[in-house]
Order: sequence, then C-alpha cells, then structure tokens
Amino acid sequence: MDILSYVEKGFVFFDGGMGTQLQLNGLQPGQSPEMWNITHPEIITSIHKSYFEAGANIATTNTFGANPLKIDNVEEVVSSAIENAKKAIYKENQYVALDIGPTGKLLKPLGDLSFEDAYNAFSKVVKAGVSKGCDLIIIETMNDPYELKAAVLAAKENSSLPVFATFVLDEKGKTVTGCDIKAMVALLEGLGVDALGVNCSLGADELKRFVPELIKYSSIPVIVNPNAGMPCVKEGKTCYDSTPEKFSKSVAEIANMGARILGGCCGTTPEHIKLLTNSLNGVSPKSIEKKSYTVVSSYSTACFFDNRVVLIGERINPTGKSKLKAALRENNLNYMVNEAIGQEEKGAHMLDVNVGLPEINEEEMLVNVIREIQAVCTLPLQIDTSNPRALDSAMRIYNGKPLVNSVNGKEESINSVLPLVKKYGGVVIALTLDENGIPNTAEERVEIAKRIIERAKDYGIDKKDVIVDPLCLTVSSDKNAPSVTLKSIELLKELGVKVSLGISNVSFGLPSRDYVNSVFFSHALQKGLDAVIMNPYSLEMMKVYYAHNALMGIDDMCQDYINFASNNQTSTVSAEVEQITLERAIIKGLKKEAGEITNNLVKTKAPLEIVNEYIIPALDIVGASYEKGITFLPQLLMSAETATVAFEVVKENIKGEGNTNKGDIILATVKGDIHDIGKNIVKVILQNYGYNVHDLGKDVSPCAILEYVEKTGIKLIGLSALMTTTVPSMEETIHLVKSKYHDVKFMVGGAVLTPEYAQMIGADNYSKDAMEAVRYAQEFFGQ
Amino acid sequence: MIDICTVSLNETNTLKIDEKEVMRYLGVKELDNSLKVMYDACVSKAYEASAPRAVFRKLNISVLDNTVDFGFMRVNSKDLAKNLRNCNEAYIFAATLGIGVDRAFERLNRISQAEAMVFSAVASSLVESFCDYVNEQLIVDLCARPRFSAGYGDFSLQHQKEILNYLEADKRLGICLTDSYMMVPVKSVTAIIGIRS
Repeated sequence: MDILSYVEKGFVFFDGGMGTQLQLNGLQPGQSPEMWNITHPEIITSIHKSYFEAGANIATTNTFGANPLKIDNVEEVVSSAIENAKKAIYKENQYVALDIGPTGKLLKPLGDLSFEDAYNAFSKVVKAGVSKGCDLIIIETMNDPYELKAAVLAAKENSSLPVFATFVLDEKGKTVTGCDIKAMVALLEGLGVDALGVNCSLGADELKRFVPELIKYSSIPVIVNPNAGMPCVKEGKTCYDSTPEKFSKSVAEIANMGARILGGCCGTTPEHIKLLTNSLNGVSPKSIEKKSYTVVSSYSTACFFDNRVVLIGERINPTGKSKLKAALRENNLNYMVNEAIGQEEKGAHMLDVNVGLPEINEEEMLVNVIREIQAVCTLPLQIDTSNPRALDSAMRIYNGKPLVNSVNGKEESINSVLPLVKKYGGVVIALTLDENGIPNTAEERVEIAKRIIERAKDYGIDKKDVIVDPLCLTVSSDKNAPSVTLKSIELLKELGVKVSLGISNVSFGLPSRDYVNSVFFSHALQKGLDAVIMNPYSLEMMKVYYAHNALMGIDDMCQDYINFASNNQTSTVSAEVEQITLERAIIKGLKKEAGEITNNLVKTKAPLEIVNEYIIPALDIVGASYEKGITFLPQLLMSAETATVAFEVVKENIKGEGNTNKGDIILATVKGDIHDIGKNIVKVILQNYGYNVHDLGKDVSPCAILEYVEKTGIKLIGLSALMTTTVPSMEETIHLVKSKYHDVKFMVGGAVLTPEYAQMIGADNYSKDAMEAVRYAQEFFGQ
Repeated sequence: MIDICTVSLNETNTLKIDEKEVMRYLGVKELDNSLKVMYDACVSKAYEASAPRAVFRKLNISVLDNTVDFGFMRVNSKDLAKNLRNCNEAYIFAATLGIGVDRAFERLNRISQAEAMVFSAVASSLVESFCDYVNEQLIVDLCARPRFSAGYGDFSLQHQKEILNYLEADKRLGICLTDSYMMVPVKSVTAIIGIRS
C-alpha cells in the first residue's frame, strides 16, 4: 500500500530524533552527522530499525544537513542514507522518507541566497533521493515560508512522490521569520503538498495549543513531530525534564485533536515512539474535513474573504498615472514601494500590482517590483497581468499564496491562467466576459462565471479559490449598467460564490467620481460584495467601508470606525506653521511644515526663486555646520529629506522649465554586501545638490556595473562596501571597469575603508562622508 | 543537542535603550527637538519589531598559550586567550532581535535615511541590552569574564560559522550567515563568556 492510502486508513507514525541517537553512538559535537551514512552505515541502519521496531511507519533518512550549500558530496550521502534506511525495513507499511532540511542561508532580499539557487540546491537533493527509490519526501524544520516554497517546488517538479512539509513554531505560534499558522497552511495547501504540520523547537505540551488552529484551517492530514520537551536552565544548570511517558501522553492528546501523522523530533528516542504507538493502538483517528475558506497570504499573514470586505489597493497600475509610468520607465522601484507602503498605511488589506507598459519588459519588472514590495510590506498581493509568462514568473517568486487578476471566459485565458493557479496555488479573479464580449444581462454573466468555475474544477481548482468579478461598466454611457452589476452580485452570492469588483470604472467621465464610486460601493456591499479594487486614499470610499462595518455589526464596539473618524477630523493649518520660514523648516528637518509652507509659497513666488532664495541657502547652512562639526549626520539627512519634500512641490510647479541636472552619477553597494544605508545616505545628499543618481542597489556584481557604464556612458561611479570581506569586490569592480574605460572615476566609501586602502584598490577618491562625495562630484563636473 | 537552552523575551520594553549610547552611535552630541521626536518614534518601532531570542550552551574549554580549545573548534587568538585565561568553562551564546527588525529597517531605508539611521542605532542599543539580560541570567554566582565576540581583536570573524552551527542558531533563532560572514538578522550577536573556577 502506498503511504497516502495508508494515511487515509489511520494514524501514521514518524520516527524520533536522529541526532540524539548518533551522539549516544559516539558522534562528537562539530562532526557531520550526514557523513556517518558513509562511515558508519550499520549504526544508521540499526537506529532506523529500532524506530521501526518501536512502531514507526516512516524512517526519516539521515540527510537533514545534506544540502549542496553545506556539503560537497550530496549524491553520495543521499544514496547511502536511503540505502541504510531501506535495509531497516522488515515488514509491510514501513516507508523511507527523504529528509530535506533548511539550507542554513536566508533568502533574498533580507539574506543573500537567491530563490533560484535555493530551488537548485533542493532539486539536487530530490533528484538524488528519487533515483535511489525513497517512498516520500519530508521537508522539515523550516523557518521561512519562502525557503519552504523553493523546497516544495523542487520536490514536486523533480519527482512524483508524496510531499510532506513541516515548519517550526515559536512559543507565540509563529515561525522565527514571523509567519503565522494560517499563512503557512494557505501557502502549503496552495502548493499542493500531501500533508503539512509542525516539528521541532517546542515540546509536545507547548505545541499542543497550536494544533487546533492547524486542524481548523487544513483540509489535508496534519503532522505533529514535537521535541522531547523544552530544555531549561535552573541555577545555572541545564535541565531537560520530559520523559517518554509524558511525551506519549501529550502526543496522544494531539492525536485526539485531529492530527493524523505523529512522531518525534530532537531528544526523542525509540522509547518515546514505542509508548506513543502503544497508547494510540486501537484508537480511531478523527476524520479529515475539507475546509471552505477563501484565503490568500503573504510571507507573514493570511487574508480571508469572509464577513469583512477585502480592500485591494489599486494604485500600482500605470493606467492613467503618468508618474508611475515614468517610474517604470526609469526602473525607479522605490516609487512603487512607496505606493505600497502608503496604501498599507491608509488601511488597504491587499495590493494590486500591475506594471504593464508596452515599452518595458513586463515579466522582469513584475518580478522585481513584487520582490521589492515583499521586502518591506506585509500585505498579500494581487498579481495583475494579461501576460502568461509574466504571471508564471511572478507566481513562482511570490512569497505566499497570491490572488491572480485575472482569468476570463475565453478559451485562451482559461488554458493559460488556470494551470498556473493550480501549480503555484492561488485564488483567481474570474471576469465574466468571453469571446463574445461582456453580456448585457446579469444572467448571462453568471453563466460565464459558472463555466469558468467548472473549468477550474477540471484543473483541480476548488470553487472556493475562484472569486468572480461581474464587471461594472460606466454609468455615464449606460444608465442601466450599475443595476446589471448589482443584480449579478446577488445571483452569484445565491450560488455561494465570492464576488469582487473593480469599482472605479462606474464613474468614468463624471466629475467628482469619488461620490459616485462610494455610493455604488455601498450598494454593492448591501448585495454581499466580498472584495473591492479601489483607491485607499479616497476618503469617501473609506467612510463607506468603516461605516458599513460598524452598521452591520462586524466592527466590535465600533472601534475601527472610531479610530478612523478620529484620524480624519478636518484640521486647518496651525498658526505656528505660518510663523516659521521654509529655510528654518529645512534646517530643523520639519518635513510636514516644509511641504505646507512651500505649497503656500508657490502661489506667490516663481519656482526658481524658492529654490535659490530658500532651499539652497538652507542646505548651505546645514552643510557648512555639518562640516564644522556643529550638526551631525542624522540632522544633515533630516534637512536633506525635508529639502526633498520642498523640491517635490516646486518641481510640480515647474513643469518642463529647463533642465536642472548637474551630472549623472552611478551609485552601488558592491557584491556581497546586502546592506546599503551608507549608499542611500550619499544618494539623498547628491540628489539634493542636483545630481542625477543612477542607483543600482546593493549586492551589485562587477559585471552589472560594467554593463551599466557601457549602456549609459556615465563617467563617475560611487561604490560603498560595509565589510572587510567585501572590499575585494570593490577592487574587482574598479579594475574591471577601468580595464575598459580608463576615464571612468571612482569615489569609494564605507565603514572599513581608509584613504590608504582606497588608493591601494585603485579608487580615485576616498569619500569619508556624503559631503565629501558632493565635493568630489563638484570637482569632477568642474562646478 | 539537549543541552542547548533558549531564552526569549515577550515584553521587549523591559529592555533598556540607552539614549547616551544611541547618541554615540549616531555621532551626535545632543538630541534636538526634531531628532528627539524621531528618536522616540524609533524606540517604539524597535520595541514593536523585536522578538528577542537567544540560545546558549555551557562547555569545557582549555587555554594553552594563544590557543583556545572549545572541543568543537580551536581558536588561535591572543586576545581571546587573554580574555579566557584561567577559565576552564565557558558559556557560548547567540542572541538576536529577529528578522522583524531587518524588515522595519528596510522599510525606513526606503522612506527616510535619517530615520533608518536612528532606528539602526536604537536597535543596536536594544540588542546590547538584551545581551546584558542574557548575561545576567547566566552568571549567577559565577565568576565570569566580560563577553568576547568573533571579530574582536584577533579573534577571527571566520569562527562565526562554527559558533552558529554549534548553537544550531539557524534552526533555533533563524540566524544565518551571508557569504561575507555577516549575520542576518542584522541585530544579532554571538559571544563567549569565560567562567573562572
């Protein structure tokens, strides 16, 4: 019987700890347990056998650290490990699970391992395991959902074996990377693993309280493999008080909660497993129920489509937004990131991401923007593209279970989008249009929705993972359009389908569109709308949202409404602001005031006057007092950022009035360095002084810098390195570029550099701080 | 494996943030009004983003001339040997504020460099304060040496890898090393505390 059929029948038992057993057999601290597969095969086999004899069904191979990023001979280790485990099998229903542990590296953007490299590393392990004939794959002890996703994809794309996955919780019920249980379950079920659960870190008693949540949200078998207990320190001594008896009692309780697959992790022994299997002998497990939640997730939290309407921020979409279009053309990812943060702060629950512009590579841009947003914003994303290749790449690297916008009733759309939704896991928005366009009646739209839901089912996608958007046409061109949409919502809700709507289209061509949008939103809410794509900056829309929740009893004690209302009381510019000058606001770093004052000033003064009479003199004062050691870097930066706010206001009023660019400069943090605050500081100050900074980011390879020089012909480059270990990358970059372009100049900086060191690696200038970089740039451009 | 102990702290704001020390990190002599506003905001952000957690193990060591033998690693370092002279036991620990701090920093890094810089300094003070807290838990009744970290003096940073492996810090705390030997989460510390008998 294969393992999955066996799981359907009843409890299945994993083995217990390997490390503890190896230590008992003489493994020394610091020695590689994996090497023992080759050097001590009999011991490994005997450990597996002792677990089988204790009643375990699954032997976990001794390959936890067998990863190409940790050891060189992965194939050899994995082959012998599987052989050793197979030798221990002596009867039916004993299986060998290829054990895959974490790489030990953190993935980008916060770490330095790329998603692709993690995937490749795991693929190598999977291929080695499959060729030796393991029965299933267990991916375990995972802290990071992103790494887990790479491992699951590697397992599924390189084998047809059952895949089990377990992650590690801390005592607050989250992974150390901050991912909660609901988000993990959404991700793993979306990816199509066969069983999921938790292992390690906590003892059975501590893990017990998180099991009900796992069961509540999972539609597949739940695995619980706890440690023997929690080690603790009493009076300076290490204690470890859990016994096999206590362990088996607690795990049996976990089984009663509905967990189906049970075993042990660190510190557990054959005795633990024996008592556990004995205690559940003759007990029948709870049945595994299918759940009907519609849920998407980010790397940390899940977003449910239930009684509260989900607000999906629409602002990262270039349609009709010239600034965003410009940012996309200039590869200014920071603009999109700021839009994301702004919408999150305004109360959006999710963000739509659409970067489709004819002149850019959408696939590449979509991937880069999603990565950047996910570095700093916890909201789940709605991937919005009509390009199937871009959708494929974006869903692959997305950290979580995304919402996909969209599929429609056309054959081509169904055949290209639905397989991706099945493969990577996701919820998909289904638009009610097909080859014949958008039907005029609600009934016909519902027919298309039904058809898409049927087709999704054929692809193995549940009805709960399809949200229908019945479309709303413009009321100014068809007075009946809104009522058809509302009727469609009603019919769809009767069918038990979740409904979403892009609201803004209804008011196209009308003045004060917000008024129309918000009232239409209110009507749609009455019909049971589940999600809306909207502008979170629209106060009218947010008023409806908060008031609706309060009125419908889904805002406990009206708390959210009260908070919203108290944050949005209309305030007038305070008298104090009138009294301070722009110059003083910049010197003192008062951003909000600087913006307000500049807004007033542009009414009476020419833009260039403001720059020359207020902003530049203020910057000069701050710059001079910084150089004299009167003010310090944080104040200099605050002033620079305040000046930027004032500049932005002025710029909006210049509109094509000549070029103020004083010169182009490339800035980059070198290969190997994943922190870039130093570079960013220099960037802000250089921009303040009128330079056009081309920011290539952090961890930038020498080749990438050379390519950029070739593309743009820029002659001044600033490099930053933070660690002594990355200064060689800096040297390599300088030599590479200078070998082809003798006239390119380098200014370098960073905590570990000195003027001597800078000279030694071939730099033209050592900038001890940002002002020094400005001085060198002025010298370079002859200003 | 069973002798690894974990310390975690729920109420992060019981850890003290040393304003003077933050000013020193920032290189400023005083917090003027607008800087003080930013400092206060960063203090609450740092408390909120932190999930302090540490692991430690106690082990026997032997010190001979300029070499310290920890069993799982041998370190050639004059400075470390001096620090551990006459010690035959040591605690070795890793502590971190968690990846939430990195995320909060990266977010500020894209909005305001000034605030990112202040936040980073505040978080540095916080992780030091957490190390002091862990330290206090360990050295009850013992004659302990000041803590010493890889990267101090001639104690090579390369040993960070062995230390983190020995403590299973990736699994237990989520601390990973980059190829250039930098710890992520960035506000992480490893250290050795010698104990004199």
